[in-house]
Amino acid sequence: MDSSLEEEEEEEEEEEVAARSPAAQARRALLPGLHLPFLPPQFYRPASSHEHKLNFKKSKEACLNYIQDAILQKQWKRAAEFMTSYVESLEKDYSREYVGPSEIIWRIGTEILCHHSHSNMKEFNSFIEQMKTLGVKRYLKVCLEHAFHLLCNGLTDEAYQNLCLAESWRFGEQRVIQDKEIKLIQAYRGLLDYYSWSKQKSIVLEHGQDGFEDLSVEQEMHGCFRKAAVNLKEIIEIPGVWDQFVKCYVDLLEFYGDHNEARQVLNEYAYNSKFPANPNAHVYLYQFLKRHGESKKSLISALKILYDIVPSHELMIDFNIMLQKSKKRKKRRLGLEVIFSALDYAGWKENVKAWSCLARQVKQIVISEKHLDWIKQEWKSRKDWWPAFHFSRYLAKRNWQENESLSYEKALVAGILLGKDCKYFKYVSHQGCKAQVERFRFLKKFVNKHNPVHLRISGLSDSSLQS
Amino acid sequence: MEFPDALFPCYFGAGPPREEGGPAPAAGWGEHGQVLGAGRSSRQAETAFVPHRGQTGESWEPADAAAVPFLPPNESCCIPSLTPQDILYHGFLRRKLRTDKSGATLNFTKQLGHFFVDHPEDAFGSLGQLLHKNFYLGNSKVTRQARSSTIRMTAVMEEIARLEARRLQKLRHDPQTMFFRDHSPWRWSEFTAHPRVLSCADRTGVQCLDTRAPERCCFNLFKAGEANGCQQGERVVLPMYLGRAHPFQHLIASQFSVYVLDERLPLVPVLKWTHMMKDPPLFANLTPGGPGRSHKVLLGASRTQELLMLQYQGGRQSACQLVGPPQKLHSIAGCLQHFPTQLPHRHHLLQQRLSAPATGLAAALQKDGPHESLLVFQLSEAGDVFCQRLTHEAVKPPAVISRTEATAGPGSSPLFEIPASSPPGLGREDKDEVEEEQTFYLSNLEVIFNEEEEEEDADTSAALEEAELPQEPCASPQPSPAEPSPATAIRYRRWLKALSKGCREHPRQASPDTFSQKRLFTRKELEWPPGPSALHRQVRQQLRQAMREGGCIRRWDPPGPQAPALLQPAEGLDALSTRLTKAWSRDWEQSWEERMSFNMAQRRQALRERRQRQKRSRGRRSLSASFTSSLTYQSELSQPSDGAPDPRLPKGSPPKQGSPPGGSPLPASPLHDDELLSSQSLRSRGIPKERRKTLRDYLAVWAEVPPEPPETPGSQASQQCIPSSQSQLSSQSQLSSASQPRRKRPRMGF
Repeated sequence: MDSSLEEEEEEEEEEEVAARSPAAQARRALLPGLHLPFLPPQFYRPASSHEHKLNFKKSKEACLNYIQDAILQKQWKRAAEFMTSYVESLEKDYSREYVGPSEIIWRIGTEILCHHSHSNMKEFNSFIEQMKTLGVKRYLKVCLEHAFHLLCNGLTDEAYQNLCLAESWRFGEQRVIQDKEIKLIQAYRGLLDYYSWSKQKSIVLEHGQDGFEDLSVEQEMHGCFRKAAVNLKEIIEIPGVWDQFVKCYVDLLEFYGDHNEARQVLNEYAYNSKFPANPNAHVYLYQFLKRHGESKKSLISALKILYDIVPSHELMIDFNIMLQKSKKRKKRRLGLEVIFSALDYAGWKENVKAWSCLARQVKQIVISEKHLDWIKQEWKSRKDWWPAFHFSRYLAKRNWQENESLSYEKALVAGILLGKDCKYFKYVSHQGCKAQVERFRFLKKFVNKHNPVHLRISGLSDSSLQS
Repeated sequence: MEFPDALFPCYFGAGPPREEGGPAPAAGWGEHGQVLGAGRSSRQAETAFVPHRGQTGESWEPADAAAVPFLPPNESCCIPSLTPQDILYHGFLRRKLRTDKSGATLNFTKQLGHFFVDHPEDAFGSLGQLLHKNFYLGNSKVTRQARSSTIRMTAVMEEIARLEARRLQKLRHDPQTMFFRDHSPWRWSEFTAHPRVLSCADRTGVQCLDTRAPERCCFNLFKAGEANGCQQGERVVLPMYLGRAHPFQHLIASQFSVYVLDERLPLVPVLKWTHMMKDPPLFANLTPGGPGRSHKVLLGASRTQELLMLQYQGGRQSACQLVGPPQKLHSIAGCLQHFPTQLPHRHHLLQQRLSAPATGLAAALQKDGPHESLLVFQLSEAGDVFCQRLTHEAVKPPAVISRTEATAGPGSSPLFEIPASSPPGLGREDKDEVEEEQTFYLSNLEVIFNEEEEEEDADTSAALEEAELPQEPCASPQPSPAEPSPATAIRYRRWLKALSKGCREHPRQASPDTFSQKRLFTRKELEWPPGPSALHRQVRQQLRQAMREGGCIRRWDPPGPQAPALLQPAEGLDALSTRLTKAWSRDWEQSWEERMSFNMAQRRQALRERRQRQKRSRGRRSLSASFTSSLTYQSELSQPSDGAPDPRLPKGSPPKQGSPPGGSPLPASPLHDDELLSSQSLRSRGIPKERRKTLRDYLAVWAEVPPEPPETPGSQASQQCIPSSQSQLSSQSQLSSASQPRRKRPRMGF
């Protein structure tokens, strides 16, 4: 029996060893540290601060998961209930992570308040004001988002005040991200200044028409201009997409007659290689040049660059028309290229304007019998896929049913490029003649007359002529 | 094609990514991002501002409480996955399948043939994807080693070349990734707005190249690590062309965010949202919205089965916006709670089955007048397809969903009729089935243990879930658990039935041996009789006889053909568990010898001292205490209302008198049988001499019989016959559930 006793002892020893093991410690770490007066002191072992942190971190994470879950299922009420528990984590924030609970509370709280049926703007504002005081690193971001929320709810004045307050805030050394945020705050304040300038401008102009002159309004208007111009100018010098800021700034400059500065700003925005290839930058420049009656040459050069970066842009129609009218062969040649390229894109497939541009130019070339090689060259890289892409029988049917003009323009192009036997032309001209639409009869005649052209365009003319 | 006349402001070339790794836990919430003044301010009127994110979107509400099985459980998941040889060697597959007893028919080539006839365009693409690795397009001979997985396509190539001069073209050959070095061999290609321009993606970004001049004409659409506000280590995990919504738009998902890119403004995402998914989205689906409507994008993760729905709009006249809050859809694993209660091991199997990683995602829009519903299908690795329906109410406010609609559910839709090919068990009348199952639960003894087991199972699994199973890792307690409609409930039951039937057929998936007690007791018999029944008397008699003879009570449960699977001691078990495990496997003695011989002399002295101490302190322990310990264990399980114990805590330690419940700093030492056997200890427990022998004999029996887990002395001796069989069964099932190493929990009182 001795051995059994030893076993027993052994077992207990093992137990103790087991109790000291890391696993057991971890297990105990999950228990609350209880103080029980009737236990001998050696039994009482308060949970270390590390354990506390561990427990706290776990329950914090679990709570956050619940909140996320509720938000993702649009259970705003439930999310709000969990949120009240989560707020406790602010008091015991041991984390030294970049994103502390205060950021999470701000983000989630905002999301809930934006959707919760019982929330109102007053509550939202007071919540955000509390959030602003929670973290200096985030202050600007919270201010900016607050202003956005106010703007989206039509509270422009409140948003403006908020932006002004945020702008005047300074805290220690500015980090890169804060620098960007402060620039954005200033830009948005500038934007709001622009809008009030614009409002006062219309009042002044109206009064001017009526013969009144309100000096105070006019002065206020000029004040707005100055404030707006300073801030807008600053942000648009940094590489980025600043469409609305650029537009507003240029509008201000144009009103005060500073065309050079406006042109410089637009040129910079369009051509500075540090900026993204933003089609709008070129559009704004083109529109500016057009407004100021600039020469065709400069308009064309502005659009040429837009064509190079976005050949599918809707301004390509204008560009093609402009080029077709040109007396220079080279430009007309470019025009054909532009319209062909535009029609390569799926988004243009049913654009009547584009097809009529192409039809007109192709018709011109065929009638004049000059520069058929232009068409030939454009067609070379397209003949293997355009027929299926544009000129299928299915499309002929659909285009005829949905848009007769479109089918007319396309049929003309198809007839010339593919000959009178092409499916698209055959179907549409047949339907058009059947419906006794006059222009389709002309179309049929025209294509029949110029049928050999398609052989020359396809590069088959020599061999066919020889045979 | 229109381009928005003003885009939302953003910085460009934001420089190197933020230093901190990974986005904030809630980074996707609470931001408008930027605002845009919509339209020129007309006189006096205030300018309206629109946010980049956060504008109200369409309301799509789930029609049912969880996803429902769309097809009967896929039985062919047991068929080994296809290897290149299966495709290359004709006839091989059939042979392989014939040896498989599953009886499923999978004729790959035939299926592909049908696919070619029915969907020639899709088939061409998928065939390329499936086989590109196994096709050799060159002219030279295929080496012997390569021949096992590669087929020479030279003849086909020549055929194609004769047909037309073009058609196959190498667009790009680059063993390196595009923008910086990344080890992933993963590549992707899709169409763009221009039919002759294709997108090429790898982990580092997306490039678009013109197939007419792939060398010269290409531009970068997206560079990982250079988008504004991107994170360190961010990689492209999924690109998708959104052509059906907008010809110029592409969706790019990284492990942190989703981006929408416009080809006309490369490198500047027109939309960005931190998706906060626990696993990167590997599947995406687009349901384009018509004019004035939002486009719906579904994002699906694989391992965690997460499913998110985003809505966005814009890109033509107005700038791109994310509208409405992103929404989480049901996952396959989420419907586990709606299945009927299961035996623990079945529950576990079901859980495993349901939480198999997702492998695909599809959605279909159903229009019925003003009503629209979106059917979302999720495919799991096990081959199961689950479906859920989201309904869109254009008129009603989002919060109001009529109950009738909610109950209608996918189960009642004609789409969800049981397919003709469903197993025979599925076609029965619902009513019968429901009744049958009710009798099953009423007349079955299992139900009693189920209650206990379920709890334990729930506890254990809750603890395990976090660590290992993807099953709703963050599922929070439902506020008011939405119940599936009766029709849906029946679908679950049917599916489950078909699943368990399928599982039984496959020996590989066989559940541990269990005793069938289906018809063992009727409900009536289980009712507590007013006095000792004949059965009681009989069983008591048997017990006494067994004790007299030193035999074993095994009248009514002949042992199964095999002993239950032995526990595989997991690494890192504590010494006690190891020892108990050894005891089960009957080489306890040997291991004991090993242990004892190990620095025996050193220990002996220490033990002697401790013995003295123990003798003094013993006395409050008694034999009955050891029994109560096991009883406490049982009752603890059956009374969950007494404060739900933390599942992560070992429950086995019996609370000592005077020690705080659950707060004992030192776990109580277990009382072992051998301890009980010593005369000293028996005497000290006040057991009369004449009974000591009986007890010792009785207990000695257990050392002789095969280590049947059910017959544990503690519970056996202390409980009535019927309860003893309960404990038998319960411990049996505990064991079976414990045969999975990770389910094992330290437990004392055996």
